[in-house]
Amino acid sequence: MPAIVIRKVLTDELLQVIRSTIASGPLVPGAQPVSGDASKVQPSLQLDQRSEASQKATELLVAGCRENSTFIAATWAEAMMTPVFCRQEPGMTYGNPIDGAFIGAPPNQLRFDVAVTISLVDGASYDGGELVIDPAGVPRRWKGAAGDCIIYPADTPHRMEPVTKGVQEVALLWIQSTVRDPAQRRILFDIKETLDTLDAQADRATSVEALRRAYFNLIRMWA
Amino acid sequence: MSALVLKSILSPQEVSAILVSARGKLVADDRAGQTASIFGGLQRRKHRLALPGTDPEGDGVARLTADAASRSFLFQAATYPQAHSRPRLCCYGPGMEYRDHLDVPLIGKTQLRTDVSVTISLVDADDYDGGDLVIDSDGFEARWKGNAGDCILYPSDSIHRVEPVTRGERSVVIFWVQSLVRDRAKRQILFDLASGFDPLDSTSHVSPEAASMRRCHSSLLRMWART
Repeated sequence: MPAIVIRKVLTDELLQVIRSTIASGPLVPGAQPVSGDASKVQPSLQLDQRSEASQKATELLVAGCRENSTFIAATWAEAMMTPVFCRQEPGMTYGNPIDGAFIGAPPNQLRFDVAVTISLVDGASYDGGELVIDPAGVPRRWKGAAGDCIIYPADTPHRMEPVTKGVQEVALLWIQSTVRDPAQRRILFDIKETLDTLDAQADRATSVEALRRAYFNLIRMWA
Repeated sequence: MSALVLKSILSPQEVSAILVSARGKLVADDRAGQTASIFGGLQRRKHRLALPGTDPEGDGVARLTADAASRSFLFQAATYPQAHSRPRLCCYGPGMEYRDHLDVPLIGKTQLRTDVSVTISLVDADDYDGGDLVIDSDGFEARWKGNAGDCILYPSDSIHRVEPVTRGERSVVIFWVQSLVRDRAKRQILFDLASGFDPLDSTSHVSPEAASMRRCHSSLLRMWART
């Protein structure tokens, strides 16, 4: 399943509130980058996940995502980890906070099926800092406008390039999906998008209902 | 996939060619009572005529029918045939019938799995009285009488019967399909997807929606087809 990009998953108003919440801090060093001399590498910063600000920003972000039907259709989220609000400045190196397929211990265990990166600032406002997703040796680089997000299967190799100028702010989300298989999620997503297009047409064909039945039955089979 | 009716799958010329080739060659195809087999004591109360399996005219019947099935997009989209039994001509005259029965799951030397049962009518519904094909899905009965060339497909695990003919002759061609997609719920999904977006038509201009649905259709087929 290739990555899915959704423009403006968060509105400008919501973004502003989330950003000012994050700014109230505190910011702490994020995950240690794997490569390089640990004493010389400075990790990127992240909002302290135990802070009140993190809790508030999470609520706002999750509520925003849940209101977006494209986001719902692309993820089929049944549970998600507390988002990592990440800030990267020149000289910092991003370390992947996620290692493995799970977090927590049973029964409070979460599986990472879907990874989401939400851009909190405009990609044009900083240099470098591209998210590079490399599913099969064909790297794809992404930098979103403020509020845009990219959704991809959590097992896809990826990296965040260093920022060379300005400040990058992103929210990173890991989601456990009702539909575990990326190929199945992709099919459901494509049918949903097609249904939305066809439903919006004034003279929609009766075959739309056959397509909807196929969609519903696939959900019954896979969810 | 529940029952599906396809109109005019055979042309009038093909229908008459089949009927002419079989004229005077039909023999009794009767059974009354129980037969022991791997599938248990099969109740088979049938009384009809059929073209003998050894008759050379049977080849023509089988070929015309198979050609019609393979050129019908809807037939293909509903069944995804991997193999099929040799289509066979049967005829029910007055007083003839085939009482409630189930088709066996494996047939013939090749042990073809019967996933979909196919009946194609060679006569019009007005040409005979009685002789309805009655398919019983868990207490709901569906009755069918087609016109010449019409076809009905139904899952082979349905109990069905041919009611007694009271006037005229009910001539049909029957055969079974082993599907690449064994699960009928999956076949239904593929059919529903294909019904709005002809996934085999790659020649004409297509909308982005149709292209997307074709991709979904082929992804599902890759996921589900057992070749």
